[in-house]
Amino acid sequence: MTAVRQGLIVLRPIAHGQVPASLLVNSALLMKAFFAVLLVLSWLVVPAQAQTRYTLSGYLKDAGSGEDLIGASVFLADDPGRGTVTNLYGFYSITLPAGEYKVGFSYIGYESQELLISLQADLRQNVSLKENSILINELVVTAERTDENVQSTSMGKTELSVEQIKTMPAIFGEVDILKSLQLLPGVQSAGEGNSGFYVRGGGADQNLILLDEAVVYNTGHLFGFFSVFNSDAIKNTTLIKGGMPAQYGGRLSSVLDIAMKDGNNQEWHATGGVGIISSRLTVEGPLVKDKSSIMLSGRRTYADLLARPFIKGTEFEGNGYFFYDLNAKLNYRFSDKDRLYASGYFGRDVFEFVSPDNDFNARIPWGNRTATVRWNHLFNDQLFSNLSLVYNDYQFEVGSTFEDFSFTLFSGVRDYNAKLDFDFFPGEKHSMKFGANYTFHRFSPYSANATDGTAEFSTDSLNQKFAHELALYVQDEFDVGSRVRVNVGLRGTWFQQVGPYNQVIFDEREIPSDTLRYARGEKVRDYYGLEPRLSARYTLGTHSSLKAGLAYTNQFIHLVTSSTSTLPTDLWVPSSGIVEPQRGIQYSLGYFQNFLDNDVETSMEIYYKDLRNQIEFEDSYVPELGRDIEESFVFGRGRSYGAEFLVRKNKGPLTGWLGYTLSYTWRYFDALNGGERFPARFDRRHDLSAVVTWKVSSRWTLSSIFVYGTGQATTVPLSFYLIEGNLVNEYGPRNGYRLAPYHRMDFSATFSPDKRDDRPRAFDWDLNFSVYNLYNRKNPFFIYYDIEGDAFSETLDISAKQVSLFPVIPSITWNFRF
Amino acid sequence: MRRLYLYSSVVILGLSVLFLASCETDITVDLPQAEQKIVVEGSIEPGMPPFILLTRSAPFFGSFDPNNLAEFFVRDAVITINDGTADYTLIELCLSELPEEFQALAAELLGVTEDSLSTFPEICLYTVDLFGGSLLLGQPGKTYRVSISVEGETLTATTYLPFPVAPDSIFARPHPDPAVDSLFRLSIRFSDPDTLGNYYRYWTRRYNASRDVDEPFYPGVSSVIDDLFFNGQTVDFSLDRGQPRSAGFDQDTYGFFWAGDTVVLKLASIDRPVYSFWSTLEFDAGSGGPFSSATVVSSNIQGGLGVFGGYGASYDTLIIGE
Repeated sequence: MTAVRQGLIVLRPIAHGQVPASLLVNSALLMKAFFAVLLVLSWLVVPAQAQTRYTLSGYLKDAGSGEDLIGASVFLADDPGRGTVTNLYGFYSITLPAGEYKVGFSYIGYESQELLISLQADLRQNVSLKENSILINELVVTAERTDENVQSTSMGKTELSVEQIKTMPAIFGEVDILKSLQLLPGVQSAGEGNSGFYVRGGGADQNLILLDEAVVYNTGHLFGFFSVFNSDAIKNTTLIKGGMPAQYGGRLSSVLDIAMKDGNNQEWHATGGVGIISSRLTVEGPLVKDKSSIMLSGRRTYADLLARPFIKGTEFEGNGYFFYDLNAKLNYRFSDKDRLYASGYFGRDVFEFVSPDNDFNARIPWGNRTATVRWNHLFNDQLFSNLSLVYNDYQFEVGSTFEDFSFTLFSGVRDYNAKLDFDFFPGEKHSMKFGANYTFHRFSPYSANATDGTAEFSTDSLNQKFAHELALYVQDEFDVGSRVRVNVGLRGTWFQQVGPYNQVIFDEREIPSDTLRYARGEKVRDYYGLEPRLSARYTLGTHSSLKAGLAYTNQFIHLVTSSTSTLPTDLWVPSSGIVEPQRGIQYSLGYFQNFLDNDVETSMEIYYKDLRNQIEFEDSYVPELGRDIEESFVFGRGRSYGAEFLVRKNKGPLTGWLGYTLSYTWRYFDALNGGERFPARFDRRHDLSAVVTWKVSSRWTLSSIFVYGTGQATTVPLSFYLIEGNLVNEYGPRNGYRLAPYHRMDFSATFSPDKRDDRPRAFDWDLNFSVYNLYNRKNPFFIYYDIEGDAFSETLDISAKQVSLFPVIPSITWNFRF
Repeated sequence: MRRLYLYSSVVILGLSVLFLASCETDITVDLPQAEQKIVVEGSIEPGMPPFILLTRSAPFFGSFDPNNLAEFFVRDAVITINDGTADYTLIELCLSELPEEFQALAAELLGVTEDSLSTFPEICLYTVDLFGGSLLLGQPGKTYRVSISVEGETLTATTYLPFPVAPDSIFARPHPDPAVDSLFRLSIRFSDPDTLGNYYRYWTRRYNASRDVDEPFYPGVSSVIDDLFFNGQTVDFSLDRGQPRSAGFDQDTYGFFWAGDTVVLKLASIDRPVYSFWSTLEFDAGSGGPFSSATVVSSNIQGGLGVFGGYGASYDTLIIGE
């Protein structure tokens, strides 16, 4: 260890300007440690093999489209406790003693299958499952569904299928994955109609959001009212709230792993929809049947086109806003051993304003781009690997002119990422994952240029920031006896901010006095983290278990927002000499019990989280283009704890869930609120959601949602004073005031024409009627004080107003498929 | 730069109107009792005595009665100012006793026109003894410490009075649309000193007898400037016409002057704490709604609210359109 450290020091002068050298040394160091851990783990856990064992492996697919099924169960029908689940690419592997087995394959929303398998040698068995076309009261169950939620070691993990989400009511009829997730216990909405979310008292930046393994930095369109995920292009959504496995990292609170559809490799199809504010179209089909498929999906809003005639001639003429998304994916299966995927996402919001006399115009585009290339390779029946190369960026731009004053602003973040992951299945009761993940980040804080007459102003002196981030992980899941299953993992992380970078030094009068210059590739600051992860399940009975989880996490990049919402202007910043990494630890405990043949799942989870180096803006923050944003940060601690209850019914004509969360989220900052603890703005004492979907007949499906949440915490002025005759706010305690509670009910009805038989029709459609905010509750969006008159003219009149956003909103959406 | 905030509010306004079918209701807010604090509004300029106005904060929904304005002002304070060599004790001087040459400054502090001072209730401010004794007048380059004892509390503040930096020239620039020949922008050519950390605040005053206009000095809506972007350079830039905060934003005329206006520009060098006070105050006043959060006004007063500022002021006059 010491030798390597010395090596590191010796190398430093050489590393000046040569990033890879120091990177390699650091990786080597971490690598060494990891392989040691890996060796010890596999040695500890691989049992002495008395019997000859063979491996049953393969892919699970949708029979109709050839799509891989993620997280599907493979189990022994006579002993459902023994089994495995498919990975992100639909691959499973289970090693069993030689013999005859009745093996069940099941997936929610699909007809289960049972196969009699004689395992006398390693066997590759690909299985295609048919989508459920269960008619009412005709439940066909060919094999018992496993109680995965009870059996697995994962806690706080939820999967939502797009099919499930699609029948639920949605505002403006826009089906939104992120808004549906907010209905789960422990997940909170960032505000009325907002797709941003907070998990278990963590900030919006503490969610790792992956779209086909690419990080999505900003998930909202139109100030977060719609998410960037077009549900037509999405196959699967998994949210992990607690007990984050070691394969994930870099964020403190949660992982949202979203997989795009691969595209139908059997036949060509188009799906789409026409709604009141946007339309969608997805085309998918085989390039080479069974081998290769392609999927293209697009969505665009047309509110700007609809509004144009109405605002013509008014002072709002010239206002325009729209957003669009494009998703594309291509895959090619070279053989059962090798498969290549290429996928991409491109989305933009564009706001335009031109004043009627053309004095003032602005164009503000923003959005994400991601591109992922992945190569799956099967070394053997027990070792699956995936190599991903990912590019992603988020950009925000402003271009504006006002008379002879013009202004442009750019901010964004860009990543180059390479990732190598292995899934290793050494035994029936044992599976491992290990891998490495490297990212090169480029952060562009505000860079602005302005011209005012002949004067030009530029922030070019304010530099971009660059950083390396590396993680190595290993995790091992194994059984200890018949009742206990353990998932233990370790993740090692390294983060380094590198030049070019100019650090401005301020004197005691806060005036820039000096600049420290770092050359390209030169180390500015680095950080290490070692993150143990542990989760364990103890089986209590056939349908009940107790689980516990522990997760250390480090977060090296941060989003600090001064607003009460998630905005496109929010900036990502790296850890640096001033900003230390956020570090978190979460303890969780859960009780899981299924009833009625696993038809009804219930769970209760409690958690406690301790978050260090949390970041907020100082009390008196004012954006100053000329200063590094870091200078305005203050640092503190966060604590959150709570209990989550969930009852969920998955099968039959009546499905849905009821979730309730009791939670406390506190922040402790020396520099804020006079050093007193204060609630985070997303502190929500009570949070209740109920979701019911009732398939009334083969034509009609009804669905309803009810949500209730404690009012949002906000800071309000308690008193005022006069300066130059103007009223100035004197604020009360930070987040010390609660808005009125939030509650709302939505309803939807989906009509699809009768199907004469089981076969899919050549042209299929459905019509969705949705009503948002059924009883027209005026939920608070924000409050403000309306001040009229003047303190010195005896006319001062102050009143408090509450602004509500969405009244009752009916909508209709027509969806089709052919 | 200064107008950026204005832009963003226009953009957000546009968005809000276009997309949000929002609705407003009157509500009653149940607020806890806030501690009443003493507010200092003070200034010292080159060649001028210091002026300090003491008021108190009032709950938004409570006892404040605009008919009883005098209650708002804090009387009987003991105030001393130290200029680095000697202590000066301030006296309380009511508006009617104030010599005419200082009325303009008093009006500026109160944010009203000089004429309306006569209709004001009898309120008082603090200054050095203008009629005798040792007169304290502001001297650039000096640091002033003020100490205020009143109602059992002690408030202190320190400010530096920077050297004035006068513009090289001030001139009127025509409206970008040639058809609009009655409106002009006020522009200045300005040579910034070659050290970083110069901050400025400006006010404009406007007379126009033919339009029956006689405005007091109003600060710009965004009244403070940081030299970070033009340190040490000679630059031309425009300054928006100062206006009362309650005047609103008129898209056609905001920032412009009219032909025939006599404009007095007051441009003052200030120190960083004074700059922070005004920038946070103006930012908080200009924000609001769902997309912003509370900005606590950064004060240089220990033990109270407000500002005691040294303003290295210079004055220039221009008749627009001549």
